Amino acid sequence: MKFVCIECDEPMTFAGAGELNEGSLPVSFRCPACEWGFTMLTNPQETQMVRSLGVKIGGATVPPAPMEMMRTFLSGTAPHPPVSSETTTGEGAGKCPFAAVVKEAAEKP
Amino acid sequence: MTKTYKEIQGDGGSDVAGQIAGLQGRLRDRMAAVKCKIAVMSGKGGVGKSTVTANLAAALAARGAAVGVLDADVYGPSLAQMFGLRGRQLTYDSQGVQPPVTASGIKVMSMDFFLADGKTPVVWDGPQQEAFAWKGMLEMHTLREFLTDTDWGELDYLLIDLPPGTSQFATLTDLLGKPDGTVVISIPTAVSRLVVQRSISMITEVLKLPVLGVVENMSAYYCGGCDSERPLFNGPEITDYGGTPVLGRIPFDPRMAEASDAGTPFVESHALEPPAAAFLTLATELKTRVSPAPA
Ligand SMILES: Nc1ncnc2c1ncn2[C@@H]1O[C@H](COP(=O)(O)OP(=O)(O)OP(=O)(O)O)[C@@H](O)[C@H]1O
Ligand SMILES: [Mg+2]
Ligand SMILES: [Zn+2]
Repeated sequence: MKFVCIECDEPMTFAGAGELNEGSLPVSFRCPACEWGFTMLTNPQETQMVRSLGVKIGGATVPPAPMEMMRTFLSGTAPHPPVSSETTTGEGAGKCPFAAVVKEAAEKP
Repeated sequence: MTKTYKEIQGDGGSDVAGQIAGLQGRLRDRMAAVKCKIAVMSGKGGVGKSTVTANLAAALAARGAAVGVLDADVYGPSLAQMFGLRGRQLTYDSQGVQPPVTASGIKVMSMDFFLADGKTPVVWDGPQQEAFAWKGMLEMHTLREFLTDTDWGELDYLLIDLPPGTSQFATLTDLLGKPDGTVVISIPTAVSRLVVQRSISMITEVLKLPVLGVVENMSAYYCGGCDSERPLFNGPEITDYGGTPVLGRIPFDPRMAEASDAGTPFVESHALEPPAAAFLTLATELKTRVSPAPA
């Protein structure tokens, strides 16, 4: 999925994602030419679908922590959740992964 | 006229293609240290995939190979129990998650290590309505992370024990490409042979991947008391499944189930018994067909 500004025929760029609210994720886009923007509000199923893709909205800044996807989604707690022997943690892991065009990218040969 | 989808470069800032390429690259890097990736599968449930995987791993390790086992049965993990590793604490560091290791040096990764106790099922957080739409993605990611994020180190063999059916096998090959060997487990009954033959056709004709061969488990009843083999099922002995060779036959021995329950592969606990020899022969057969030695 890509968005194009009707006025300028410019592709809209990602402008930020808000807090998850009752399963809905606000994702904003803006036109780089005229500054017109909009916020897309996903429904809970769409949010889950997008989260399950395993990519991060706005791009990944740090590599995912070990088993991040699985541990983020697995309900309940392990008897002994993996113990880190270093200072890095998976904090914030998988909270707002999103990108609309993942399918196309995933299907690329 | 607006720009078309293809005319627009990039994806507005998330670089999804780059993120996916990154995940694939990490998987490739990890697997580069694994010489032979062997999928153990069957269209049929309960025929002994996990038992064969555990004992084949033990037989390969006994022959000096560096062996890892991945329990790819996400919803019904059994290998932590069969290797006596349930309840092991996982640790992670910059190399990933350290897999629990058996006394004989086999590295094991399983969903079991992430579940609270023996009663806890695998449940994914999320709206349960229409969950089919995203569950498959999580199964794929779990398999991908088990492969990528486990610190397998250098392995001669990584045995991957799949759940019954062909769906997880297809997911595995989507991630890995062609395994170095695919072993299919069956038992000598018409029902099993029918279902297993179909799963072989799925692999060879639809997925266009080779199958190394079939292992017929429970090929006879081995009585440890009188050291003899007797018939168990009525299937006539066959040498191939529509051209796919039978690589080995493993007899039924109640002590094998007991060994699995007790957490030590039969090959280790009953090393001198004939059914253990059947696994050692199978390991030799596998090693001649898929060798970790450089060509
Ligand atoms: N050769 C054998 N002799 C005695 N018991 C066996 C033998 N093979 C398998 N079993 C027992 O049969 C049961 C099923 O075996 P196992 O769990 O290995 O099958 P599976 O194909 O992995 O099942 P699933 O389809 O659920 O993954 C287990 O209790 C196991 O101990
Ligand atoms: Mg099994
Ligand atoms: Zn504009």
